[in-house]
Amino acid sequence: MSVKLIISSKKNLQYKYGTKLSQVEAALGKMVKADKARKIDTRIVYVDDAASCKAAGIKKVPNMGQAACKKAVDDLFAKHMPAYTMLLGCHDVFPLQDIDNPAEDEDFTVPSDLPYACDAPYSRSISAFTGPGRVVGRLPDLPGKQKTPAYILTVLTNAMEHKPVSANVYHKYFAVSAQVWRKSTEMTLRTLFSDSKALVLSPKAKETTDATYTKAQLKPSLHFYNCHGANTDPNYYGQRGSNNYPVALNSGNLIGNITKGTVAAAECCYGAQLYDAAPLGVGQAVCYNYLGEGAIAFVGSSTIAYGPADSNALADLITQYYVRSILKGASSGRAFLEARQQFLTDSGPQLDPYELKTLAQFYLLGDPSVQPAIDEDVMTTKIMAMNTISNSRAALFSKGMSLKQNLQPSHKAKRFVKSSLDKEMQDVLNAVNFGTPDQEFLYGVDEMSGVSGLQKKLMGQDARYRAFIKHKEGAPFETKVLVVKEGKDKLLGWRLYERR
Amino acid sequence: MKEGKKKSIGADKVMTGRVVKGPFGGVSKSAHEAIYLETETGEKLKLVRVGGNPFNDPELNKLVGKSVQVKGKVVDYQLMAKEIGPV
Repeated sequence: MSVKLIISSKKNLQYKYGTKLSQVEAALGKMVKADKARKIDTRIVYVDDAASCKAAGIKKVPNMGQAACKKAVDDLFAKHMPAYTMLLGCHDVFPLQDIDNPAEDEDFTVPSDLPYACDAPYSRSISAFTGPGRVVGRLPDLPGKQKTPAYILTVLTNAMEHKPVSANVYHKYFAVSAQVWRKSTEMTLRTLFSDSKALVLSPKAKETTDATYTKAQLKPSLHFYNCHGANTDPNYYGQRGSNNYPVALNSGNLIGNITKGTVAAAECCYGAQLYDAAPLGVGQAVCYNYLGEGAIAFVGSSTIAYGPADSNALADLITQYYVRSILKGASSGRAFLEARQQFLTDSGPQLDPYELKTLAQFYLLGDPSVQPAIDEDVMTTKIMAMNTISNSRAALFSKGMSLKQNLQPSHKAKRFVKSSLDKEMQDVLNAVNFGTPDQEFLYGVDEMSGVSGLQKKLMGQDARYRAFIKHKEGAPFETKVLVVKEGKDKLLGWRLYERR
Repeated sequence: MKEGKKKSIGADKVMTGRVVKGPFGGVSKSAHEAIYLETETGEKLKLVRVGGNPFNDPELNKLVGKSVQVKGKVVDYQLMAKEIGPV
């Protein structure tokens, strides 16, 4: 039997639900039974409850701060080696880990679940967490004190009731893209589904009106968004030109219109931000309404995300890899771990600050043990070869350790040094029509120990990154970032990103 | 609920200041053009109207250069305005 840990805070749940916590605990009891039928041994651990911690073999946390909760998750992982770790509750029940923002934008920190997936001690530095090897997801409840536990009961029930279906079901997709990112989104859809015919553009033509969708349009079980998003905002936004940003999706449009078992991925800035809507007087976040209406998994970003307009990188890739693994029959948690690892494999060996931010900011909302789809092709090959869950987890953990050893995260240079490759740099700026940069930042790359001379030479050990930032006048959210990688005496490559 | 308290959104604030369209974001973070409220104490908060389009809000554009009183909540670096009126 595989082990699944449900980790939470009893005191915070009690504060939010009072005597109605018993209803939540009853639902968790049902989940334990339902999991047992799936050959999963599920254990619930309240890290701030002495009896629960004693039973789990760890020490009760001294407080519910981020460092203490990170250590509790690490201790639990070492003790139980769970195949799935499900954090129960939003950040005011069990904290997200604040990572110092490695990129240059207005996010102070990047709230993240990545540290819980890594075998590294508590830190605020993203450099510590480039080796994810654990399957982790978060089943969130609504923030703030709640009158009823209705929402958390719904999301627990949705997770319990889902039975894996044919992957063909998830090949039918609903996808929306900001018009300006059409090429990038089409590329993603063609990679995943071999066509992009069903893509909806926002706006479709020149209209400035907000989009709404019918239940029939939203019926497909796989939803994908490549749109703008904003801080504490219940909408995703499209874009045409520099002044037309119509609503591409309002979270209210999802009510009563989502098919049970839907899996969604959003590249948008703040696309999965867990904000408290009630005191702000705004609508519920898109991710909350997806899960509340029957979706079983949602992958998105906590903060400002990036990707190119005409190709695939950053947010495009991590969401794309996630969907790809779902279509291959992975559990939602394994799919997200595989996505993180694939993203790191493709981005490395050196990681620029925007790759690092992408790694930190995307998380999985949903029970990580839920398997959305069965890939019949994979089922057939299982007759010839089989991989147990524990063997798969060992391989993924080992891959995480290997990534940590072999990747070199970048960090902002303490002292800015002008490039000696001025002409080459200007050629790149001209080639992408960047104009005059508003800002330029320099990033060094952490040295790797135990590297041979040839390996060092091949990997570009002396590499560093220059990030050029350009904000379009009159369009506050139209931000372009050109990241140029340079060696000692030559340019090694460049990438152009746009704020999502 | 220690973490929750730290992250919780405070009560509505009433702030007065001038609406400015210009570089926003300081030195260490990306300075970019935005509409923000510059208070009498020099504090700058990106202005977002609850229910308004954060990417292009004609109502906020009309207020640029004017002194206003704003009632709303401060979330991170932005002021989410529920009411905006003349000083």
